[in-house]
Amino acid sequence: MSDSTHGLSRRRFLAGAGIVGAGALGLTLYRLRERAPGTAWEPAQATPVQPVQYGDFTDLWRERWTWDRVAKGTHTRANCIAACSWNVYVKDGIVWREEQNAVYEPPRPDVPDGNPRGCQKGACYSDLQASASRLLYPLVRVGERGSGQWQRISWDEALTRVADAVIDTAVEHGTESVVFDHGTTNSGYGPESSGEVRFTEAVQTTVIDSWAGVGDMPMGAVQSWGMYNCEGTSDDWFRSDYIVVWIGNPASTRIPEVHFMHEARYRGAKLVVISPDYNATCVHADLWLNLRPESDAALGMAAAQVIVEENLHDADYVREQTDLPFLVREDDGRYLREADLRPGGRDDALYVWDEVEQRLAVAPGCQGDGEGGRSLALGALRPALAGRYTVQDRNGRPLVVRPVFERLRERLAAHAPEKVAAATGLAPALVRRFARELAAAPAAMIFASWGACKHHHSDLFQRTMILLMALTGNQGKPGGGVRVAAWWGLDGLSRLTTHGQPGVRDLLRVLPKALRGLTPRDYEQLYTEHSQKTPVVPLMPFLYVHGGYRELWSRPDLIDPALPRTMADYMRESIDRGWIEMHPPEDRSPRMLIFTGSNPLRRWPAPQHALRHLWPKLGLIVSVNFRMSESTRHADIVLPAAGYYEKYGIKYAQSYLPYLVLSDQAVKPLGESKSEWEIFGLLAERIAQRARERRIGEVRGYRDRPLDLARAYEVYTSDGRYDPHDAGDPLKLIDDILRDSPSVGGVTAGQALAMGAVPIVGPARPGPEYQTSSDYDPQDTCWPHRWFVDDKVAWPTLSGRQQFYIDHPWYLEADEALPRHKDPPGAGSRYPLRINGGHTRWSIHAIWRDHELMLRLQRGEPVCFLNPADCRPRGIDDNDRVRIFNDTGGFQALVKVAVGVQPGEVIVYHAWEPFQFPGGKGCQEPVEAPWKPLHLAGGYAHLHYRMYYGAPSHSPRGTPVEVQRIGAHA
Amino acid sequence: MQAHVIPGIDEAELLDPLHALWRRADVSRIALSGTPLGLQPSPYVQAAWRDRRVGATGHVRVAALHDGVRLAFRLEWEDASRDAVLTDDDRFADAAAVMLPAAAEAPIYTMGAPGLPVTAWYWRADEQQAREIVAEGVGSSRTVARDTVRAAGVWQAGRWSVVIARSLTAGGPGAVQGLGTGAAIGFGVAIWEGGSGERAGLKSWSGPAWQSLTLEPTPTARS
Amino acid sequence: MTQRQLAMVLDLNKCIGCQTCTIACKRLWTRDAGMEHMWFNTVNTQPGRGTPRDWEKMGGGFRAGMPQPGRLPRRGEFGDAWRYNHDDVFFGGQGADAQLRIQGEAPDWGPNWDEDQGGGEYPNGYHFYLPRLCNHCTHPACLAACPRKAIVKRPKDGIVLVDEDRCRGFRFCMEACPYKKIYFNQARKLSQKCIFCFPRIEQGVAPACARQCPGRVRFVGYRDDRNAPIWKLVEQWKVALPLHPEHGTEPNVFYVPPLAPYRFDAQGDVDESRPRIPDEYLESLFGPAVRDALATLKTERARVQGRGRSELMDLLIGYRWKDMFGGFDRDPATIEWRPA
Repeated sequence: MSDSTHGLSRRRFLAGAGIVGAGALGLTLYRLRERAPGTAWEPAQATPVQPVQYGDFTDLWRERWTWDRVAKGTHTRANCIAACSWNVYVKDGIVWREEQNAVYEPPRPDVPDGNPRGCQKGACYSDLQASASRLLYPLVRVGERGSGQWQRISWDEALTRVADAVIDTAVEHGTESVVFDHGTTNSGYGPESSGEVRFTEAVQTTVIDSWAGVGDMPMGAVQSWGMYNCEGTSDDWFRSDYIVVWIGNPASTRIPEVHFMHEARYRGAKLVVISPDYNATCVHADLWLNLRPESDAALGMAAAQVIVEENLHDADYVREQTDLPFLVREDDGRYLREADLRPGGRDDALYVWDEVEQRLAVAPGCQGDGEGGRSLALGALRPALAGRYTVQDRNGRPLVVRPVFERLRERLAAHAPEKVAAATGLAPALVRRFARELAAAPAAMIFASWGACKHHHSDLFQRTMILLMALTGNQGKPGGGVRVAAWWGLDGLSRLTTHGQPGVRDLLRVLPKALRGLTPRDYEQLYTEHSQKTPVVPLMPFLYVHGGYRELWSRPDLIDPALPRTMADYMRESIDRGWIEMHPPEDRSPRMLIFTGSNPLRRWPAPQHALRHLWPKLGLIVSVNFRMSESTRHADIVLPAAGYYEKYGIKYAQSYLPYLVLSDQAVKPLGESKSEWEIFGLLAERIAQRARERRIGEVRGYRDRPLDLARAYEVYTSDGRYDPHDAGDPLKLIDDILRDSPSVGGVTAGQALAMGAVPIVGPARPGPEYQTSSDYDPQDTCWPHRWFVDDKVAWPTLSGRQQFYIDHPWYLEADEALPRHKDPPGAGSRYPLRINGGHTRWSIHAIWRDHELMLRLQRGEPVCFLNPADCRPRGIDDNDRVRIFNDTGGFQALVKVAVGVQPGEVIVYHAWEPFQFPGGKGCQEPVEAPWKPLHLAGGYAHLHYRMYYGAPSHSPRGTPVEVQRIGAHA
Repeated sequence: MQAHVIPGIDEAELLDPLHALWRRADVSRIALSGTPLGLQPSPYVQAAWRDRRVGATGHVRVAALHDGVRLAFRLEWEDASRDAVLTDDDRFADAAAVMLPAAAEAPIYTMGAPGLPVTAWYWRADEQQAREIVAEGVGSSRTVARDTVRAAGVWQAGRWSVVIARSLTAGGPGAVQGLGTGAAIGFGVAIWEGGSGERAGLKSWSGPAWQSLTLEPTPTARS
Repeated sequence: MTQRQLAMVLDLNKCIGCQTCTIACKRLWTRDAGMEHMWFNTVNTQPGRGTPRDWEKMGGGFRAGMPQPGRLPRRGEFGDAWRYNHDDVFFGGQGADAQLRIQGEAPDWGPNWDEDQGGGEYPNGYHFYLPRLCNHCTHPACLAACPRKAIVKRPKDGIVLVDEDRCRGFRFCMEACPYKKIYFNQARKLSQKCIFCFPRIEQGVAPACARQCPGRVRFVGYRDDRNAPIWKLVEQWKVALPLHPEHGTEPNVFYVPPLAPYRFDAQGDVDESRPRIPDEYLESLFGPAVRDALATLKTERARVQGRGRSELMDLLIGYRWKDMFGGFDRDPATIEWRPA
């Protein structure tokens, strides 16, 4: 093996990456380590079959367990927060079955290894691959939309139809009226996603940002940290002493990782689950806190109150890492700013009271600290956490200020365990036990991933969780802190786009800053600027303006009564101020929808609204998919995508596993299906060709700037570098990606595909999604936020700290400057029950949801879980059919009577396809998903929107409904 | 009992239990009884059937014909339920078998003995193809051929009529000993009433002693 | 040849009911005609009626050495292989009138019907997940019951197999097995069951259910290997127990019994006076030895919570995945059936 794979000096690292100079400086935040010698880079050696006595019935069994060859595969665009390498066994030209490729090495001897990974879904993809839901040929609708009447057409015809429709739309309305929905993170790190990225760039379509749109945006983390991702490797959980699972169910949703939590118990850790219902994760817990649904902020504040009152908090950590010492004006409740103290003073310079010098001091690390806001290191400063101070304002008048911590104490007092007992339903003694155990644990963590993002006031819940971890000094510890999710960066990912390596150009542009090393704030600035150059629009506002949801979301019962203004008011201000950019513009309409890896009619709230209001606006709807989904049923043209194992790809590298997992092409695409790389390349080519044939000149592109569609294919292929007609082209792209990525150590596409899983060996340039915020050490577990806690880099917030006080005017008027408990809008509903629940273990969203093998291990059709106390008065028995409904809509399901459900809850696990219900009315029909207009706020340092960050979240949980028995299941 | 000879029988007619040609056969009414539990090789079976009656079929009417080439038995018995399709995993099919010696002195009582095999022509209502079985003792039976025995069964109004036939001359491990010599050979009949869960050794049988069968000499043989 | 015995230990404190084991086995062994309904491995929520439904009341096994009559489960009690109408729904032209449904009669049981329903009463309800497979018993009731000796137990590893050359589908084995882990193949008129992946074992590869379990629940190995986890968990620490030992078949699959979170007292605080899962319930499954097993688990957990070391805890952590399989740690993907 070449030297580049064993140990990486800084110089060699940079030379290999080809970004000497600015690139080097951009990486001053990293410390590079030697990779452990002896890591296996070669594929495992073949071993001979052992001879066995043959000649009887046992032969038949032995013969079943044979195959012709093995390829390394994975499920590249399945939207699971995991990455698992599989051995794909091919026999007689078809994929026979798969079994996990369990090659993961532990980073250190006192931590379990991560093997084998994989789950029951992956273990039967070979069955789904060729099942009845598989799309094999291009189709055009011949009946009404959704009628199920299709006609097979040729690729040639399909491409021309789609290309002409794109051109027609562009000519008449501009390319922003072509809307592309690729789903959330249902994307890969390789050619399987590069196709659509390049296509949307070449055609300058509107791109829907669904990250928050599927309810995966931890706004509480955005508000507190200026970042929305945060996690390390899952083996780091093993090192925790107190693992709190808070609104989550990793036993169902983190199947490959959750064993680390159970093993931690055998190491002495306690597992605590906070959930209204006794979910699958409770089964192996030590303590269950069965709070009332949506009272999580009340519990969090109550626990914080106990910790502060009993002086269990880590004052030094709080002083350094949080804004709790920051001074707030008594008169208007805003931070004290330099602009308050002298004319021409900065708006982003904030203050603490230095107990040593007994005077005001600008807080190191805040944006306006005069040093670029780089470091929060206190030096000799000792910020006060208590006290009341009078200073002179710019007009010489006295200004009274107090640390945030003082205000927090007052707010916490209102949330003492006794005071919130009615809201939480928890005994004060239980809350005190929890708070004390949390504070006493050497390392405590809170697993609060995307399940914790899906309630109306999830941001308040999360802010209190982050507060607890900050008060106890756990954020930034191994086995400690709030954990959401994160990804590994991969420098070569810029190859997925058409514009080369924007990172380099941007870095050069910010050379003065780069000379000192870019901070997380600087990177966030880059991402924001980049986002502002693309027609990306967050889903919830898009649906409000264009999707037909305005009326629904303006209903008074769906908005927080504490807000003084209406949704319309907030939306107007946000758009007028440019905090949210609407694409297509408000005065235009979407005219064409292309989607892949997305299933809008399955997952959007109350999707009947979209069918009624948005669908008629769309002249052409194109679905690129490998399976027939509900949304695909309502499309006009279907382009069949190759399935897993049939195309080359790189699974998105979520941080739980320090490996990059790739998928080889074990067999050719079935039927006439094609890889997405080829599909979008052919589309771009056809658009260019038709634009020339039809003599279309320039059209209106992004922001109506002129766009020549005749160049679409050149743009797609990076001026001819790639050739999607070539079956090996994706390998070229993968080679390019990997070559540019020192974090995987110089491996080639061929080597990587032969290995299946390639170790991460070093750091990568920060990217828009990847926030481990820690240097990577291959000989240790990885935990987040070490830059801030160990290296004293300033957090990318206004205050440069974990920020619990948000003095944005919207937050002040909503009384959410500090976290607090708030009832959800539905609290006063006349509908007595609440839909709750999480992600199912039985599918990855809708993929596998309708698969026979999975359904047979359930009841075979959609179900809900109800407590016996709610069944008895309604005359409901197990397996009865019921209707679940409110004024917005309803659906039918079978009932499973379950003692673990909290009375009042209707547990519906997600992702049933509407075609699994009578009348095609799926479980989102009654789900209004009221979202918080506060999330439209911008213009405040870390509160802003940019692609993948800071958008209003889809909040489907807690929908008020009633349940009515229909009859015994017929 | 004698098996009359009818030269040149069409096989389809021979295998039709309701065909008129069977009226030319002598019919014997043979009483059946349940196989004794003590003979069951499995203690489980003995325990599970201790309080259950083995042998749901009380008697069978037997006839036999041959044409010098094939020997056919016709069995007729009462069975209120037609168990010809295994509608569930706890269902068993009605079945019948004719047992014949494959070696001189082969004992019927123990279904043959080591070195002294018996052969059985076995029909099951849920199988297309009848079987030729050889056994050398209880629990040792094995199927030796699936293309030598022909059978057909008709169930009507609470009664099965089944014809089971095999070549007289074909060899193999199931070749009947003593056929064609003019002497009597032994035979036995077993009936399994599937609806009562009868299978394996749980059946009605013609008893621990061989029944007797002679074949009417074929016309050419007479001269 | 003396009898050696392969065994399995399943740690019920790690099983999450994901059924990856169930699917791994299904995709390997029960794909042929007549096997559609078969799941050699099943995982059920306990308390629950299990697979087949109410199997614990279907008899079989031994009492005082005497075989006990049992009854044959019906197909619907196992759960039949439901079929769907995808083509109708997608291409039948019926629009929203077409619903993806089980074809034929609506079932009233399936192999995981009562998943996550559990026992007790909120907020003191409880449940856990129990994977089951053939126990490859030392005194198999199935082997003893077959009048044709069509079930054999291999001397070299104790794996119990239905001899498909001899089996006639009499199904006394299905009646006699107290665990009801044998299925009937209607297409071949044979009884079929878990084969402990013997073709894999012969090649040094662990059974699929064990090797593919993402929860790292299962240990595999010879019972007599004192250096491997099985012997230590079963014989030395005695925390791994057979299921329903009262049937007298001496199963070779063992379970580490489950702990559970504290229950609540009437005021809603933690009630440490008794466990959430009643001891009586676990005793009904694993026999009286379960109380000592639970006590040992708690003692050793307390030891590590006090920063001590515990061999038992280290064993159950299973630091190195490969070491869980008693030497059967070969990677099957490296096997070349037809060398170049």
